[in-house]
Amino acid sequence: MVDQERSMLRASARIHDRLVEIGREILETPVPDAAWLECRRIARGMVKAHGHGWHLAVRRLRPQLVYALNTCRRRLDEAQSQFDNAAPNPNLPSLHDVFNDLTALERELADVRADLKRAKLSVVTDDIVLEGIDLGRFEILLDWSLLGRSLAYEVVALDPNPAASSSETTHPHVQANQLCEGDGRAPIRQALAEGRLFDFFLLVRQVIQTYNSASAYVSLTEWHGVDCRDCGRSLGEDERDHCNECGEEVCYDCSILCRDCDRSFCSDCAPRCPGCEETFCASCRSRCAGCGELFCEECLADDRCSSCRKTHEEETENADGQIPEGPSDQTSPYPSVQPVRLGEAGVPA
Amino acid sequence: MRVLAINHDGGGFADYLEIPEGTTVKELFERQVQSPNPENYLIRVNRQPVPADQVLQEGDRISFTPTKIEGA
Repeated sequence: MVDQERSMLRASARIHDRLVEIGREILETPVPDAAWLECRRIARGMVKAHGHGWHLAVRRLRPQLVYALNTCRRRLDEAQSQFDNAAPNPNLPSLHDVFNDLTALERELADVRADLKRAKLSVVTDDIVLEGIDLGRFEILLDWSLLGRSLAYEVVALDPNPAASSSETTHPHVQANQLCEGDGRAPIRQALAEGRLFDFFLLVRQVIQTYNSASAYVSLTEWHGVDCRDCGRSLGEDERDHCNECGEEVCYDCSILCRDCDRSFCSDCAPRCPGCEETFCASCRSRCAGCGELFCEECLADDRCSSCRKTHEEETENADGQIPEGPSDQTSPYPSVQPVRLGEAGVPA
Repeated sequence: MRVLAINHDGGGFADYLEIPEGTTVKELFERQVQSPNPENYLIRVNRQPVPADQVLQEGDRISFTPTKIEGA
């Protein structure tokens, strides 16, 4: 028997032992003995106090008994839940089944290794390439000593190409070596619970090979980061601000705050007011009725900027100061040389 | 005859099924998975890929695993 086969056989035996142990643990569901004994102690005390006529003592013990009974009821509910959720595996695999799983893994997936000291079984995938982005190989690492408990496995990037915004996100659905299983959760949990390790590794591999753009830690379109709309710098997730007008991403250095509403904008969406040179968004600016330029509210009065107001006032004054023309005399044969004033007579030319 | 069928499309339960003698892998797939696209599944008999017309035997272990399983 070659070394690898011998190693797999030993690993199979250890894994099978663990699966049997899980079955025994389930049957040893703890019942709340201590909580029940406490209830009995207090109840006995109440009976004794009542017998002696110590009514004050009975009154003091009553709330203690209520508390102890509630605690006991909670512990019973927890024990029942644990018992219900951890039913013994009716399909407990034999040692032969476990060994067949491991040898089949070597045919299906590359590089299967068993570390007997650390109780770990690992499988390495091929390069995972999703939408043209090479995420490298991943090691699916199962700690069989943790079977029957949560977090028995990890997914470790061997050639990390993490998201620009998060070094812990090595795959759209893997963060801090934990796979977010999504649709794979139920079958993966079932496979682990039943000790079907071939199925488990196959399922995890299929999840890693599938990209779900609707629910990723970091989407692949943003995998290499998002560029600032204004300066073009590549931005991490915590380096971005968001233009409230056009929706583009900007860095905090390029982000502009509207002086009135205090929201953030890119440079195009919050230009300077020509009057005061402060930055305002479109909602906080209005058009001058004179020149048509956009100004902040403070720089407009009567819907005009200061320059247009001045021009408008001058025009209005000029219009007020002009001498109105006299009524036209259509019967006179002589054109007027000078306008006729009160007290004067027209002088023919 | 009795076989173990594992459908990973959903809950991933393993069930012992009674099936007629001479049932092929393809026929079992159509009965269990009810999908018109077997190419979207990894189909393994006793943990190995097999042709669609392979006739199943007593005690065979058949698994159907979707090729695309979306994480979250």
